[in-house]
Amino acid sequence: METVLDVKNLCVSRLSKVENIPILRDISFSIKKGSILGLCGESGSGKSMCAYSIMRLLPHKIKATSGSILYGGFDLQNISETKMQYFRGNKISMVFQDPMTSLNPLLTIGYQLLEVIRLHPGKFLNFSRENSKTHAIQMLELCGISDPGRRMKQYPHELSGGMRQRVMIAMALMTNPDLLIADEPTTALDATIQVQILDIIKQFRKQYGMSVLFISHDLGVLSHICDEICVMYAGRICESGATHDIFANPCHCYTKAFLRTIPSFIPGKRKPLLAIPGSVPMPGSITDGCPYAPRCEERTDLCCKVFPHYIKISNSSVNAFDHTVACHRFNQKI
Amino acid sequence: MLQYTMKRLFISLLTLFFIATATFFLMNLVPGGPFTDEKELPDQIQDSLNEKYGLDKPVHIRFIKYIANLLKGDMGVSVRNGRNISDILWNGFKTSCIIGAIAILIALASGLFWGCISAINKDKPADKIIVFFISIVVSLPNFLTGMLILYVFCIKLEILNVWQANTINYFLPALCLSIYPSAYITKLTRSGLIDVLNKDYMRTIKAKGAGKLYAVMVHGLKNAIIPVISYLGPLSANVLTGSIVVESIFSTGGMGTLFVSSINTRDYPLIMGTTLFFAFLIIMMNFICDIICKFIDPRIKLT
Repeated sequence: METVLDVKNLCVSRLSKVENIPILRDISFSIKKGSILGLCGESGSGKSMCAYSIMRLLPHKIKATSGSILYGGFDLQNISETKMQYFRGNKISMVFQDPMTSLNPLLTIGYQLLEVIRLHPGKFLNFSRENSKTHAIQMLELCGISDPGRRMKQYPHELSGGMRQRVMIAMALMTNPDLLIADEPTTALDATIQVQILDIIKQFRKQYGMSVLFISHDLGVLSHICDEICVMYAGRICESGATHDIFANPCHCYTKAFLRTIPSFIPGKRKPLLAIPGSVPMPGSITDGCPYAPRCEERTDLCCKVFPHYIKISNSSVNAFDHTVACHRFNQKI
Repeated sequence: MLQYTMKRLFISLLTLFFIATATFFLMNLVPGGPFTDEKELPDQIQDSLNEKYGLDKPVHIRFIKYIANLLKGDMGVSVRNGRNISDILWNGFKTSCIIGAIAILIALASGLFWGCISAINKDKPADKIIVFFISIVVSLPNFLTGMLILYVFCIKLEILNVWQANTINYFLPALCLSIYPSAYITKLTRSGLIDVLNKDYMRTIKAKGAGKLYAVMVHGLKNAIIPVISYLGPLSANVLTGSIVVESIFSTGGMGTLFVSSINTRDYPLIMGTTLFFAFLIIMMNFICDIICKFIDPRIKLT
């Protein structure tokens, strides 16, 4: 299958006069056409930074220092800002975490939707005013918004959180992008709406062959929607593979611990909620060794000193996405 | 909306009435009267003058008569020269209004411009220079800036005459009046825009493929402009009624001069007229600004 986005050895750092603090180290993954890749990890593990680096929307003073992000033959790191603007919202769209603050409160839903069309006139050749409006209304309808004609004239504060996130998704899908980056799109929503949002994304993938980079800390959501998963910890990918492989055979100690934290819902079998002791290290305090070593129950001296190589555990059971892990326990076995 | 306007109108009239009452009784408490002068007039003449303008009656009767006349639209005549108050006010306001309007335009244009530049280049040299200039300009008194402007434009450069009654010469007093507000608007725009530029929706608009300039101009400024408009209400009332300092420096005359001279000469009807006019202007400008704010930000509730 054709690869849509290929991230290779991406490193991102916060630049300061004293020293550059690495935030992401050596991130590599690729997304195939029509597949959904999940990025998971705790808060502060660098998932959103990954998304912002792809969109080139990194906050002030945080820069990608090395590596490449290949899209359609271009390295997104090196192309001009004008070219990047052409890609953003057109070829690569993004949905943000918090629908309550991600829409401009002073402009109507309709204005903000139609703005996408105005910003990308190349994609909407021969679109009249009426055409654009019907297209926007259609998109709202596809995303499950009732009475879309009336919603177009409403302001964001008149809509509920779930509605606003649907509007955000409709906005991102207006241009029928090749790649959708969904940065925790369901975190701020309640469970019933989560499922509806996930279904919209899945439906678009099926209909238009859109690829998705889905970021979440919710393993339940990821198992529901993703074909492949990359587990991130403290700015590194520690394990990646097909969703089935990750859940059936977690190899990295962090992945195992992370999976154990999913609460059980079976009545009568209620277990105490498990947590991983400690917290994700701050970007400045990460040593050269495996970043998870301080919290790991099976750590050795080697773990604290050297970062392990990525080892291929198995060829994928489902598709071409190999199961790889960066853990010394596997280095020793081989 | 209609209900709101009616309510607002009612409150405005009430406010105006209270202002009229307070001013009327306060000004009568001030010692002296319109006919007390260095050269004392004979008692007979003073009595007949008082009688002519109705000043021989007790204060409360005069007040009731004044209000009754005011409701009929008659503001009375000046005690000093017998001219109609509304004529005097209109003449003064004409000058002040032109100068004030130019000043507001200059202040708004330059304030928004420099505010945007400053906010976009936050913490860069351009921003630091602008902030430095704001703090200087805000602390300059306008009699000083007035003198400086006259010196630079009229004496050094000799571009304009010091005063010649034509429209171009309204420019200098307007410039002088606009300096403080433009610095203030720059400050408001800068802080508002810096706040807005960090908001999530600014990231969204960039993710939609907009350039920085478009994002700031269309999405940023609209969100940052509300405090500027709220400030514009009292400002425009203030500036349109002129400033005695600027009017004296550029010898244009206007509302400010009228106000001060009316108090000095105890010209009771003129004091009432200028006070009420000023109050009316402030109330009206604030109302207009509230409506504009509601128009820009639909979340604002008018109650």
